[in-house]
Amino acid sequence: MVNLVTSDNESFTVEKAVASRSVLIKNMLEDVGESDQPIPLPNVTASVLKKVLEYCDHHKNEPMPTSEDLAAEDTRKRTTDIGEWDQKFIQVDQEMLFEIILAANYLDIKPLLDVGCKTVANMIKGKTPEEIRKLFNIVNDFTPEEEAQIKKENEWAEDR
Amino acid sequence: MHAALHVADILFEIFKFLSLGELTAVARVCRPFAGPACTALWTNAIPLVTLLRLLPADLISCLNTVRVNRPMVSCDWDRLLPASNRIQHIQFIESPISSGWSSVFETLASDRSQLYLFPNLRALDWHVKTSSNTMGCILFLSERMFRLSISFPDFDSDDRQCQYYVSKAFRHLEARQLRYLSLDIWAPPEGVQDPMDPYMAQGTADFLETLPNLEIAILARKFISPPIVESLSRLPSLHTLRIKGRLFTNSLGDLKQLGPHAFATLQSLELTSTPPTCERLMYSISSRALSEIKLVVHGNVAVQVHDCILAISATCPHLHTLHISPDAGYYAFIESDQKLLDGYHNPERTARRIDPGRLSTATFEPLLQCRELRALIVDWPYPLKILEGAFSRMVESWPLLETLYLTPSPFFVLPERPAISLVDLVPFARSLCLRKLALFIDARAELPEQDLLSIELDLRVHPQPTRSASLLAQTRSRSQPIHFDPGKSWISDPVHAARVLARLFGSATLPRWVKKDSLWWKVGKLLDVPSAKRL
Repeated sequence: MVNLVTSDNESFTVEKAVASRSVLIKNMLEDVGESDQPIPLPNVTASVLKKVLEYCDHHKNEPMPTSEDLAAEDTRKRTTDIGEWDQKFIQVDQEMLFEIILAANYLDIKPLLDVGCKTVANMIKGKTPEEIRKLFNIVNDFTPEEEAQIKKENEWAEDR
Repeated sequence: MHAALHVADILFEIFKFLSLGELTAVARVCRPFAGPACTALWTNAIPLVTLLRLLPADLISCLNTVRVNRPMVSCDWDRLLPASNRIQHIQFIESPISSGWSSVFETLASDRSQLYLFPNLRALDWHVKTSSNTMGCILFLSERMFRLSISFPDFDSDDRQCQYYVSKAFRHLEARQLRYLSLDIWAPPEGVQDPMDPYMAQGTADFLETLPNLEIAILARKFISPPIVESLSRLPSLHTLRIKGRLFTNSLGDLKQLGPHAFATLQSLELTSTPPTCERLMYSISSRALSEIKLVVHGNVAVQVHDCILAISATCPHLHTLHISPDAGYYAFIESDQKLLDGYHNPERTARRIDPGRLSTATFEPLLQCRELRALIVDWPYPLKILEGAFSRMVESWPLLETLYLTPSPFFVLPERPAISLVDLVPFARSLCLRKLALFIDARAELPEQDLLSIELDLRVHPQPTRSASLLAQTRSRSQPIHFDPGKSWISDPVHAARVLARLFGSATLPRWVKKDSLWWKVGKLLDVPSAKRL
């Protein structure tokens, strides 16, 4: 079993197979060897880690993506399809969604990062810049000239 | 705005799932978005026709026909050149209705201001239907490119014009950094014995020799001839070789004995051939690291398949995965043959007819010496003959076995009952690493309680097979359920089947595709219920 301690000082004891879905934790465990020392996770809060561990527990039996899988992905057409269980899992409010993405990025859990990013990508699809700003509460910090310049530079790719 | 949306790496991860059009919208949202969106835009596979929009509208028009309206002048590059450094992946798929591309390539080549049109291009997909367009790809090559995929139009040995273009293209290709190469042919006609012209074959072979970093080669069967095989065998980094389409009988022709270091780094091989051709190739591979083989067999003689397996087991001591299936033509043959046999209404005659083509566990017996085998996938048209004790020997010989797929859904269903029943699965209960089991079984037999008891006794009497320490270190603990694929297996009582599977494997799952409300679907439902409630 592995003991993880969150930024708000909450402790989670989980199976090694579950914790090792995180490449960061897996490497830490390999570096320190067998030890009862708790692993601090200063960038993750308890509520987010709970959710992340739920994902890791569900997927603990699946093979870890290899470096070859990741290299092949670079050239393969990327789809935004999400598995049935993952879809239900990621039905959370926007705040939690981005927290999960940040945690997955920090803990290096590529499949979870993909699920989060695909969800955000699906939210963006088909929207205009203004609709995207409204969706994520973003302030337009471009000058009209800058925005026109970017539009002009990229117009070759529009409607594609 | 959430803090995550200020992290460029995360934005790039999100944006890589968007299309070119969506990325242009995202780039205009705010400053933090613009950089990652533009990076994602340029790393996408960009269709060549889209790139032409960066040239003046009056120079090239792209409707159904691509047309060059005037000669190119230096200032026509003004918009394209600043972008050219950012483009990493170009795709050209020639539409059957479009024409005029050769004049576009000539125009682009006519007034080039830099050595490489796209200096940072890493991948090029070039799919042409007109032989003269083959040459166009040369324009786009860069010294940094690592992935090249070309689909040529089909050409026969009399097509001198096409051979000229293809040979010329190969002579000019300079891509020493290439790690992935795919050379394909559009719709190769099956059964036509038309290998490559020797001059062209030598040109292709010479080209391959210039690729010291090539790791993955995917070649249409047309490109397989003795000089090309010799070149491939000498590549120092090649780890994956896939040959698409059934090899011609003379593909290996007068192939000389390859050197002692032929295919020294090969790890994965996929080919479609007759068993003797496969056997010949296997014995010429020197790599001890070959661990993954996908063999599509042309020919229906089980004895020959056995010889082929013998060659594989002798040359691949570290085999992890073997996937074996017949080619598509075999199914067509069986279908027409079945109609003929139906006319006889004679089961004995039917059995005699199909017997030479039926594989049995004895066919795979030589593989028992491959102790690292993790997956054996046999997708054959007939049910496999299972010899007594075969499963026990498999479990004992393959301690790392994760997948055993032995034709759970035979294409040709024989009138005889499947050779194995649920109780024959007992040896698999002792297989620590097994994750997926797919078999054609007779799950109808009612097992009396004492038989169920005997399963448990058997498991107690025969503990886990012993293994060497190094192999043991690679195994995972058996907390995972077995995924059982029953295919077309016979069944009458789902409660009974679920009960036996649960007793054997602790927990098991069935494929999601099992037809709803069928008996096997009910087994799946019963297995989903926690064991205390189920039993």
